[in-house]
Amino acid sequence: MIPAIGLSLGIIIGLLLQPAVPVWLQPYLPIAVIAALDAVFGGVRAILDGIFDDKVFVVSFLSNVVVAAFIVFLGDKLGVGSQLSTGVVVVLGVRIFSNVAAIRRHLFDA
Amino acid sequence: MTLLTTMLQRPLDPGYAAAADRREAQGRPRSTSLRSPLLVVATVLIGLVVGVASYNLTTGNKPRSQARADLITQIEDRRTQVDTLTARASALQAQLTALEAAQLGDDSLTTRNRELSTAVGAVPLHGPGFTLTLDDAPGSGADDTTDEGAQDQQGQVFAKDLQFVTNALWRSGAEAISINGKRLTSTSAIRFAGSAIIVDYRPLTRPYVITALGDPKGFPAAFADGPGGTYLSTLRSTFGIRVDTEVSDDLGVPAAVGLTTRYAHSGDTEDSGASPGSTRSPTPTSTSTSTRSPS
Repeated sequence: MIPAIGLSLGIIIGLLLQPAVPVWLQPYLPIAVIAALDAVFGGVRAILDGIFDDKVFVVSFLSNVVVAAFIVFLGDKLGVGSQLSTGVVVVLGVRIFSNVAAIRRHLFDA
Repeated sequence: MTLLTTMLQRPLDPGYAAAADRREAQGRPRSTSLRSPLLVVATVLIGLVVGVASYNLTTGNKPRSQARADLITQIEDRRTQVDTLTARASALQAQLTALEAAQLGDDSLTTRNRELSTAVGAVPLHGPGFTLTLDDAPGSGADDTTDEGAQDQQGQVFAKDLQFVTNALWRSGAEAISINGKRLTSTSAIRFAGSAIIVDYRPLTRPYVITALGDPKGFPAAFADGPGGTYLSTLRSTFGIRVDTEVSDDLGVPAAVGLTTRYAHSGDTEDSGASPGSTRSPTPTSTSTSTRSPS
């Protein structure tokens, strides 16, 4: 319950403050969102599996964001544009789907 | 395919299982509490990322739409300006014509001048004639506002159609023609630019109203029986283009705006016998850029 409240609190703060993100940071936003979602669904699944660990959760989120941002940055510098970001989206997307499927099995036994 | 197998079969971070095993070995529960401050900070942070991103990514288009609106306003302003100036120019031209007529008196030269002015479109004319209204076929993609994406171009009026119709009108004896209130002269050009029809560098909007003046007895019938009539009926039956014809006893065409005099120099003699151009019988130059041909 507390993590859910924290999550909503963060979203509300973000929407209310409306901080302007500098232009150079904007390409990283979608990737950051997907990395965050991946960490959240992984965490939820771990809770349901009964093996949740807060340190692992935080570290997985941070490393997700850092690695994803680095790949986007690298793709930009290498001149392959958004193609490396597509790789990030595919990998994290597949993980999100699998984790959501596991959560679904836990919740609905289906 | 090791990567894909790993990704699909173990989507959960292996760190969770490892940490759980470690804790179990130390005699603690497999799962940690959900109330740790670290977790709260992390979730708030994640929420913040999502919130900030959703705000920034959804409102990112604002400056662009603002610029677009500005440009549209500018275009409309300029268009109004052009309309005002055009009206002023034709008013001044009418004044000029009147003064000319008053000053020159009534000799043979003036009469010839008047005849020629009529032919080149320098003076507004009134008289019997008919109007042709051409419009795109219903639902031909021009009715919806998504420009460019005209899915069905078949039903659209092309510049070529207007060229053919006006040429047929001249041929069947029209004395003066205007399209959407723009007088056609011997140097007028009907062109295609993108999906817009341009007459003398001014874009036209649908519907296209062609006003043609001519002898009420023979002219409309001559047009209807000639190639123009055939062409229009093909347009109507094959492509669904709406064509309306209306004969009237008193129609008006404005004077052409921006007429300039050109001088032709003969090539073989140095003696530059200056003679005004554009006094030949009116036949609009045609530049065809469209590809469709109603057969």
